[in-house]
Amino acid sequence: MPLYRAFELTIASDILLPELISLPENGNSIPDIHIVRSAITFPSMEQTAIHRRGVMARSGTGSDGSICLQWEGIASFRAVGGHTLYVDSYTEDFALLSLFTVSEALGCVLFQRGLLLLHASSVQVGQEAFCFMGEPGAGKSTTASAFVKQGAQLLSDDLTAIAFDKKNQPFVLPAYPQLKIWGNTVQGLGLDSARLVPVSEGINKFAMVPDMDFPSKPVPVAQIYFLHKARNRSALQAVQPTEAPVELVRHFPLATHLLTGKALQRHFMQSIWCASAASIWRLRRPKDFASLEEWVLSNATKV
Amino acid sequence: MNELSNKKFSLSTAQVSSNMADEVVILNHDKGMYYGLSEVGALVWSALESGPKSFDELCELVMNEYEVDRVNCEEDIAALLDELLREKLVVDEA
Repeated sequence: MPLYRAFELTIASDILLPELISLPENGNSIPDIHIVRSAITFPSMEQTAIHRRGVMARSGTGSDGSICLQWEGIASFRAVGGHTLYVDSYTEDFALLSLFTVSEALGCVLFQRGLLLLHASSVQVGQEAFCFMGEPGAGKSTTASAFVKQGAQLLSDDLTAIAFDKKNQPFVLPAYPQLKIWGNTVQGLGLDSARLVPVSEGINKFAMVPDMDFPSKPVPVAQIYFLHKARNRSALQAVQPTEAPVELVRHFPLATHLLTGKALQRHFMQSIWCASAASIWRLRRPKDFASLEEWVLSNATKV
Repeated sequence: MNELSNKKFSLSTAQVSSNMADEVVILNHDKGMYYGLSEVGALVWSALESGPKSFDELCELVMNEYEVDRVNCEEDIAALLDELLREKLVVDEA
């Protein structure tokens, strides 16, 4: 059974997950998470706002606290206890199955493990993590690629998991070494196409594996940016720490029905800890690739 | 005499809060609603965090910190408590 490393966790999987870092199978690492092929029985499911490849996910919570996620025509998932992810695949396309497994589905397991999840792409600049949040299309991956081009290290793309130490300091857990970017970003930033593979047929999106060692240690969160495209708002505006909990709920990457009661309290406190430790900004997306690179250069001085 | 004078007020179990930069941010986790308090509101909230307080105690506290006459102070605190009660962030005991 293949063994992988992602988000500081060892994952044993029945299915291939080519995005993740492979570990030797004869090693002595004990898996933290098992991904298991299985038929899935659903609790009552509701529509979510989560979409990927134009497919909307349905989600539900079982009486045992398990979280189910269903993508029509692709796969269903059931996350149990923060240690097992059951997968029922409806597709023969293993790359597509992997894409959906290592995103929100794995996110449900991470959520059960008590991590704070952000709909964000993150990079390591010097010894610090910068997180870029925003709606799909706001420029999360593009901004991360521009930092990687300047020598920053990639930490995560699209889904960022944050852990807290005993002093409630936030750390980004390195996810896996892959960035998914649009064809126009490749051209706009003049990226080396030799390092790019098309994500799948019919979509002008590419997977980029950065040409450097992937960070293996958690990185302290220093900057969080909410990217937007609104011309009527200022280019850069500080988000007041008191606004952080609401903003982070608004950008929660999993089904919002998960954020109730105790889980919502935890999310609230974790948001407060992030706001205490990091600077949070609303950043209007630079108007073109040249201005993005200029902005990145002025912020990547510590690289 | 205010009808609030004899009551004691305390924070409800539906909320969790945090003090940040002279402000208080509050979550009502039953409703999934967020609130912010600053200045007088934050002062009253901090007092309630240390234990139940009567209406008169809260007024005294605010009058010690702000230059405000009793009539205006009582009106402000009554309005604030009314709102906190309505949002189930605070409960009263007769």
